[in-house]
Amino acid sequence: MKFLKYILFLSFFSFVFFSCEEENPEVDPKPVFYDLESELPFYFGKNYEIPEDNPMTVQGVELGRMLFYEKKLSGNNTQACASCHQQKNAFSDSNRFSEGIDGIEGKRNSMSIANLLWNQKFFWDGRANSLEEQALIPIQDPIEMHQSLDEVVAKLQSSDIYPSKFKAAFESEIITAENIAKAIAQFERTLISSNSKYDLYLKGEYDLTPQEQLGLDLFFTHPVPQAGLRGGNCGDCHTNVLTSGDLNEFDGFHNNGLDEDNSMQDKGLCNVTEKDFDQAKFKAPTLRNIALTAPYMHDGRFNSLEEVLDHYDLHIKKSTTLDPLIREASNELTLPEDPIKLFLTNEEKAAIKAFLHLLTDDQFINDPRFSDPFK
Amino acid sequence: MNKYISGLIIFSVLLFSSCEKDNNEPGETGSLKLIISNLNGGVPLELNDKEYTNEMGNKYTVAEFKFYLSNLKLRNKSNGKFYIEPESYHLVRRLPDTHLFELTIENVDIGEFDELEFAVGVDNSKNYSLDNVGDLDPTNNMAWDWNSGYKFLLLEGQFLPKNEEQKGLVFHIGSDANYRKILLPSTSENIIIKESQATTINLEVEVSEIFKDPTTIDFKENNVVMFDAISNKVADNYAKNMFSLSGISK
Ligand code: HEC
Ligand code: HEC
Repeated sequence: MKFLKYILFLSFFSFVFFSCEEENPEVDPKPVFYDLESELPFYFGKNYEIPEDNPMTVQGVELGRMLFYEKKLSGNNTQACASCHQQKNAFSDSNRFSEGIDGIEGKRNSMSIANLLWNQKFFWDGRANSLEEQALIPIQDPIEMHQSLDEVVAKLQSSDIYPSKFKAAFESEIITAENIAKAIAQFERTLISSNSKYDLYLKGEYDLTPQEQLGLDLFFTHPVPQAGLRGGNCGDCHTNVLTSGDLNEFDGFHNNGLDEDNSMQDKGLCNVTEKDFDQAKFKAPTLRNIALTAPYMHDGRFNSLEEVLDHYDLHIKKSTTLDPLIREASNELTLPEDPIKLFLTNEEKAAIKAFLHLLTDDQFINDPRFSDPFK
Repeated sequence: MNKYISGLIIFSVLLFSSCEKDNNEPGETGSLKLIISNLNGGVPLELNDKEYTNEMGNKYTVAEFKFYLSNLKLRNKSNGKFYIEPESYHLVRRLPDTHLFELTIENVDIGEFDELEFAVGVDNSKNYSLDNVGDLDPTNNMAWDWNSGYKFLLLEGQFLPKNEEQKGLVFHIGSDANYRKILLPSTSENIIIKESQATTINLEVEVSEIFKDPTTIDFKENNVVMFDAISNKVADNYAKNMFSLSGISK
């Protein structure tokens, strides 16, 4: 069978070859397939989909990278996606709220862009269903890049470089908003973080220190005090080696006990589904590179990982939609009306923190393939 | 030059036709479609909104329900013929917008069968292995950790006790001892797999059976079931009556 394919292939090419000789040989080069799959470690699994109408190509990714760093995408040419998604912060930023082009602050903390291939819903409240859909939102947002799609398209169309780049990626010099989104999404899909110490450990190339091992065990264990099983239960929501939320629909959105019913400022997922039971549920983000993405939570309320750990350990606020896995997580036997506490020791919290630091991927934040192409 | 091309074409046509025959060899198969209805109290299981009451009068809601249906077999008890699905690991879940979950199994040997067998859970040979066949992908969020086995059945929701604060309802059943085989004999009609046709089996999953018969579960004592001894009893409950065949059609 292989042999047959080979022959068919040969004969096909001889046809192409001969017909080319007779007619005009000017054929534009086709975009070249980008083999993302071969870059992915096996333990991330195969639960991802690349949209059929936006296959990965070398030219598409290259263009997407330029657009990601392109300030023309904003109304006054001062801001690019990369302004709020900086490589050194694992493609988030270090502000509590990022300022848009008019100097106005948004209401949410910027999110890290890493391993989003395994996500189906985007933004803290899950309002975008694909990276393609997501990419056009910040451009038009009046307090972010504040520019209409027609204006962006016109600016790029009249530039010296972009028409030919779009032609190479999408076989048309006519720039469209759809193709802008597609190229950016292709680039974002290549942002794979898989070279942290934790990855080395998974590949059998790094031995955990006893503290890191304790941290890993606590991270992934739900405490069962009756069985003498101690845990921090983080892995209940920051799941598997990706440490990100369940990828099915909104299953990866939770209320992690930040506020009581009457003090919730942001309705989160409820804005999207309009269901009361989704009140104050937010996307459980990946914790990869978490040491680089402070401040933390949708509103950036915590400045350090210590504060985050103290939150989960000591300061969980009860509310109607509080996640059952948090409500029922404690390392001590408690009574129903008791406050919700994990009862972790300081040593255990330090161990979880040590594990979180293992998720930092220096190669990812220094990878020249992801850096500003204009520099 | 033309001669060369036609030579190639003739050659490849010859090759092609000779190949076609061995492609056809394993032909005698059909497909089996399982339409799984997730029910509670005989009506579609609803997520989040709907309040249910168990045997003990405990009120509760369900936010998530899923389980592994694995190692599917069809058997004919009278003549001993059977079909075993290779790499058979399916994650069945209550989807957000429908209580029906469809599974199609291709390349099923043709024949007449009078029993459907499958298991709830992941057998020991695959439970700790990293070759993620079928739906055994850690990103399905059924893995306890990345290498310590899978949850077999997961039900999460809220327990709403009378005159008390609400609590979480968390049933995560796993570990080798809780692997359960389910045998469902076909009662009126047999399961007939015909060549190149799809046979449909309707399978009902009655969630309330998880909490009763033989062991009645009181959420006041057991609203969180993970590694405790009671897991075994819960597995016995759902193995006994949760599944039933409700129809076979072509
Ligand atoms: C002014 C700062 C700012 C700019 C500019 C910006 N973003 Fe964002 N980005 C954010 C914030 C803040 C969020 C979270 C917003 C929310 O949840 O409502 C976010 C969220 C995202 C997410 C969702 C990640 C996830 O895990 O769900 C992606 C993807 C993203 N941005 C990509 C982009 C792209 C592509 C651009 C350029 C077209 C861009 N951003 C421009 C601030 C910015
Ligand atoms: C019930 C699910 C759940 C559990 C359990 C859980 N988290 Fe979270 N986590 C979330 C959600 C949801 C968010 C986003 C919340 C928000 O921003 O409002 C989050 C946010 C975070 C953030 C901030 C991420 C960022 O990019 O700003 C960190 C850090 C974090 N969690 C660490 C942990 C650790 C460590 C544990 C265990 C001690 C843990 N989580 C347990 C659901 C959970």
